[in-house]
Amino acid sequence: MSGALADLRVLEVADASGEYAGRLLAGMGAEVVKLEPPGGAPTRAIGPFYGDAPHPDRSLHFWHYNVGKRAACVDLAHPDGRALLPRLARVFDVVLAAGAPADLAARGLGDGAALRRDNPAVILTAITPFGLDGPWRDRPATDLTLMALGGTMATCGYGPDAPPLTCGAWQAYQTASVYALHGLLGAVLARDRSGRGQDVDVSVHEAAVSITEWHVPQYLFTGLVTPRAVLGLQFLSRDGIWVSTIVPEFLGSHVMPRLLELLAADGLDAPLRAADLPRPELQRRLAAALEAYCARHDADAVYRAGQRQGFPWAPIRTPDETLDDAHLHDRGFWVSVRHPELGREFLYAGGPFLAGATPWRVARRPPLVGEHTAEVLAEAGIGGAEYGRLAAAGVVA
Amino acid sequence: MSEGPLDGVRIVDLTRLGYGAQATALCGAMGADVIRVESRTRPDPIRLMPPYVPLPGEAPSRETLTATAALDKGFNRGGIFFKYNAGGKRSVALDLKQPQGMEVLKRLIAVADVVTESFSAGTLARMGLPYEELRRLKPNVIYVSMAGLGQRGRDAAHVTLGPTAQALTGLTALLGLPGRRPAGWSFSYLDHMGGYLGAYAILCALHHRNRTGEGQHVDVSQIEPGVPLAGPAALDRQANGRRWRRPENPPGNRSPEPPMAPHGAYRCRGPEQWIAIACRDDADWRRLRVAMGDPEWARDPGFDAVAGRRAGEDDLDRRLEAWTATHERDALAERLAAAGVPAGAVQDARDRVERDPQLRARGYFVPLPHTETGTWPLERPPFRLSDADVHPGGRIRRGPPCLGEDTAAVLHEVLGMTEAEIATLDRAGVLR
Repeated sequence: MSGALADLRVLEVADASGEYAGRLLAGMGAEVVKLEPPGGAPTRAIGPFYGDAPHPDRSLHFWHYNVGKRAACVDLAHPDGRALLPRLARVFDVVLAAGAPADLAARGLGDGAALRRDNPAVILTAITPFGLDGPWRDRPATDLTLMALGGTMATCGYGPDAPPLTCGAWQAYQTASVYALHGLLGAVLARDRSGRGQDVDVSVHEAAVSITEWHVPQYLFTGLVTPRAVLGLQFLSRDGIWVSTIVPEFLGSHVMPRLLELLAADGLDAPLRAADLPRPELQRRLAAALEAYCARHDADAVYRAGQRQGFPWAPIRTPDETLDDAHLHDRGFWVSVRHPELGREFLYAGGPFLAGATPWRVARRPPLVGEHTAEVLAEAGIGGAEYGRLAAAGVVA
Repeated sequence: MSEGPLDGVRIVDLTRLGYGAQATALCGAMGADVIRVESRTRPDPIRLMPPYVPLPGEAPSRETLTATAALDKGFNRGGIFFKYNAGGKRSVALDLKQPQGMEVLKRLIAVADVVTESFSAGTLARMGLPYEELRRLKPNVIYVSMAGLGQRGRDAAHVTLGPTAQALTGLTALLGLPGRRPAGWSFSYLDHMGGYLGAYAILCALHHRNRTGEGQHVDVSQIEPGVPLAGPAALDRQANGRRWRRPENPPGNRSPEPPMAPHGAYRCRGPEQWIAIACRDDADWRRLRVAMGDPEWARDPGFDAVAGRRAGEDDLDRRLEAWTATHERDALAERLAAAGVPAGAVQDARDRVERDPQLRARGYFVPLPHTETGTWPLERPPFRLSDADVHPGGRIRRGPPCLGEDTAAVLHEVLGMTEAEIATLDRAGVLR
């Protein structure tokens, strides 16, 4: 079985805001080449590192976002390096660019018109902090400042007087990377009909604005702003794990009776059975009963008891505890990837879904710095004496 | 109007609530004809949930999501439904408990490119429409199921909402302050990301079908989309034996990797006014110093390099906040941006709708008509194509559908039913 995107060749010229898009394309079968400056992309300097020894080939951060890609080092700050870009783009379907608009323009990726002189079908996808126009276009930004502007932080945290919080691991960048896939594949489907490529303009800011569920509708329709709060009910289990015990009354009238049944097994239901409790008092008693219930049981037992009653409860796992999730293993989620240089295999997070005919695949471990420079350039007809000259000048490495 | 990337693609959409519906809304915005099959007999709960959209001339209801669903508002006023069901979706009311209703659904599937649903695992199969049956009706059908924990695996029967999946995938734990309980996301982030990756599943499967003629079943869940979003902690555990659960985690707004400081949200003048500031490197710190007027405390050589700023971050943050607290938020954001320092107001929904000049300049909110309540600004997808139509109103340039408002039109256009046939079904109570 081949990947769903096995015919797509993608040239990635991306900073941290676009690397996740490349990874998701590679796993679905696309041939993704990451273009990096000589010495490697800045994301190779982000820890943690294998063996805690900083090295551009041992960044676990880089591994996570770049597994399955090939890599070539070309100095796009050098005119001779920049001149290679349209030639490279001739043999790719998509150029996936990410970064500040000024940086993209300086590399000849301000728009795709120049690339399409040589390859009319090529698609340029540009992920930029604020999009390719508008008054904020050239503002400096990071994932943190974009999560602030996007609205997530205003509502996440311990309460109105506590600081607004973001979620680590760059959620604005990852969200924008996923939206970039929609635009990019939309352009591919359009190209397959028309034969022509086009540009895709992805705004990280807009991506971050889009993810706050009911907050914008609530403001639009009621004028109310959602306050900062911890969502739902969370309690500490007997084994010291927090458990999310949301009681979604909107799921139906069956919810309360089943909850009472669950609490009755521990004799905790009586306070909730009093007639005609005002809603705030009912909620207070409910929280107290659930707190007591969780304190008597291990997190996994609370999880399973709640789920047996049809409640969407869950233990609050840490990011590495997902490795122990038997359900994910049943689904074949983790993919073992061999790193021959280290003589080791590691389980990598797999694909975002199980596609029956076109499963997720990892063609190769994350690329070493410059590992595929010569072969990638050769595929674009850049080899021999020319390659030698470029290499001697340090333009390719 | 130029062509939409998914022009000519028909999706028979049985998704409910937030997560599944967002996948098909994106496809609708890209030009697909999304036919929502639903019923008054068992309505999508999100149609009934607050906040409620006011009728023309009506004062806004103050009910918020914490309230339980109200039935007196009818099926067409649920405010979150508006966000998740734009894209020019059309609504067909069909009572699938009746054999004739099921028969109509099967006829729609027979002319569909994609069938989507977000029932709990196995439900569609129990309704008589397992993948094999869908394939019998339409040999190269793309079937995208979106159960919370997927169709396969020991916990597939579990019930999940966004916060469930966020807890299971590490995303709840990742949001909070060290030494405190998890704060977690205050909303269903994985309803969004699960839905967006569901749209990616549809697009990948369409591309594969166009290339090979082959359809498939794609089993989408909310957990596979979530796990990778929590970063490389699983690799760190395998490579270095380091567990994530340790005293400095979660790091709040701080950035241990890559090391950045300052990196946080700081109070500004006035209640609930905050600004996020991030110095990516020492050069950003020097720019910030200049923007602050190079106060004495900031000249401390211990702060010159990021390692020192990280080591003294409590002190650094306190002093920086003493400065930001004397400034008006938006003016400060302008000043820092002009100085080249990444900064952004902590915007709430009102800021985004009323103030944000970037969203306004790019036309992020698009006024769209809704048959019962009038015209409302709905959000467009955050990507635009230079030569194809992507629009939150889809090809029909309309807001979300009222329940069943397109029943007759779809049965006529798509299935070629006559008025008399449709009337017969209606009298039999099938089109409810």
